[in-house]
Amino acid sequence: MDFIVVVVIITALAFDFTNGFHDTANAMATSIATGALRPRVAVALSAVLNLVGAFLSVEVARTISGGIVDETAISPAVIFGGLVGAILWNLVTWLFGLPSSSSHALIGGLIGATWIAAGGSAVQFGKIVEKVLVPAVASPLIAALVATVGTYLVYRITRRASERGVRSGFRHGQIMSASLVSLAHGTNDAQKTMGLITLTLITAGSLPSDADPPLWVILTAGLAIAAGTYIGGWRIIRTVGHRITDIAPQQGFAAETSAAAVILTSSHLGYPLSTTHVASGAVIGSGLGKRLAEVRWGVAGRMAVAWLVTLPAAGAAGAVAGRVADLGTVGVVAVALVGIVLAFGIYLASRRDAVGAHNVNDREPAAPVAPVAG
Amino acid sequence: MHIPWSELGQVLVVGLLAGAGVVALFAAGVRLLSGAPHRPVPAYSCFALCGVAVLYGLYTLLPL
Repeated sequence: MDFIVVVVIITALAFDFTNGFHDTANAMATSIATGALRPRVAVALSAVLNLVGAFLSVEVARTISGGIVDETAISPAVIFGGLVGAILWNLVTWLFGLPSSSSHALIGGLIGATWIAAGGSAVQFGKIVEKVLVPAVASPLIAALVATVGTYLVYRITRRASERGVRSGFRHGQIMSASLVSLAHGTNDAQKTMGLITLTLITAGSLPSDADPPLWVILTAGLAIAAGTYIGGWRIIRTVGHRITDIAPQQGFAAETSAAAVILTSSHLGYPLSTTHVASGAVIGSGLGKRLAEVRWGVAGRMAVAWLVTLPAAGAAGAVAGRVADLGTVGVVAVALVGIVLAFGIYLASRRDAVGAHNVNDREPAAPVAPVAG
Repeated sequence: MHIPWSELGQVLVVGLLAGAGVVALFAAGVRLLSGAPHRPVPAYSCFALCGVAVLYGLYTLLPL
């Protein structure tokens, strides 16, 4: 196996790891916020279910190579550049506690790297609009609408029931709904990395074209995303669980069930969605369904800005990294070193205001992000 | 540019029926369990239906 192929596989697994801790919040933030699950238990459960989900299906494994870029026009070095861009953007948004889409970071990084290395003709813009941009706008809206209706129904139906019974009932329900979202996440996101590694092995000639991911690829990708999930993206969990809206167990259950229903329906129809967008949209909807004023639109607005910026920002980082990596082994080593230094710098910056299992549910007013008008 | 309206519509309709439906069923179960007349049998029937819906959702994930 070539040096560059090994580097791409390691980098893909590193991306998978950031994907895991970036997205723990999607499934578990509201359960942790309402006390349905203790923080450590929640991330452990989510990690196991992500690993199980990775083994459930290989149908989505090629989503990432499904015609977004022209695979014949790019080299493993370009894929490496795209991955580095995606990892760096995931780390930056994590530092600011923003639930941006890991899938968009990956797709953005790949598009940027491909565009610079092989020209705009190697990027299939029509497919990107249909498969990436339209779902990016539609999925949070659909999830928000479903969660709004669900939350409204919950409060309507349980109006006359005892408050204590309702809270305890929905806490139990949340364990189920959160598990379902974790499982759905494993089947979708772990497979994106699997598809990318398989694609790299095919372009390097180690696998025949149209090969399914080998077992070791499924296993390592599943373990990487599970490990990332277990580490826990506490900064993002705090944003989703507390900053957007204050969540009661009824709302958490409605949000998670709505998110799971939308993700599963879309997967079933072969229609790609960002799990992050769906989960965040559902949380907003659960605030709307209870009382219109419950959503903190400043936080929701910052999230929307992060969603808009994710594709171009990861694309720009991927373009630079891909261009340098395409110069040869020296370029690859240079990109790897710069990437490691930047990642370590972001980690050090996060230590100044560390968020972990111990303080994820603390209620302080301001998120550590610059305010955005709106 | 092609916008897949029919798929979006399907996701919306099925999402509403399955998502809000399961939530409403579960809420009905909770209410029957903690309301003034305590009725466990219909309550657990509601929870069981939710479970069936979830299992069906998982079944659609499997490449069968």
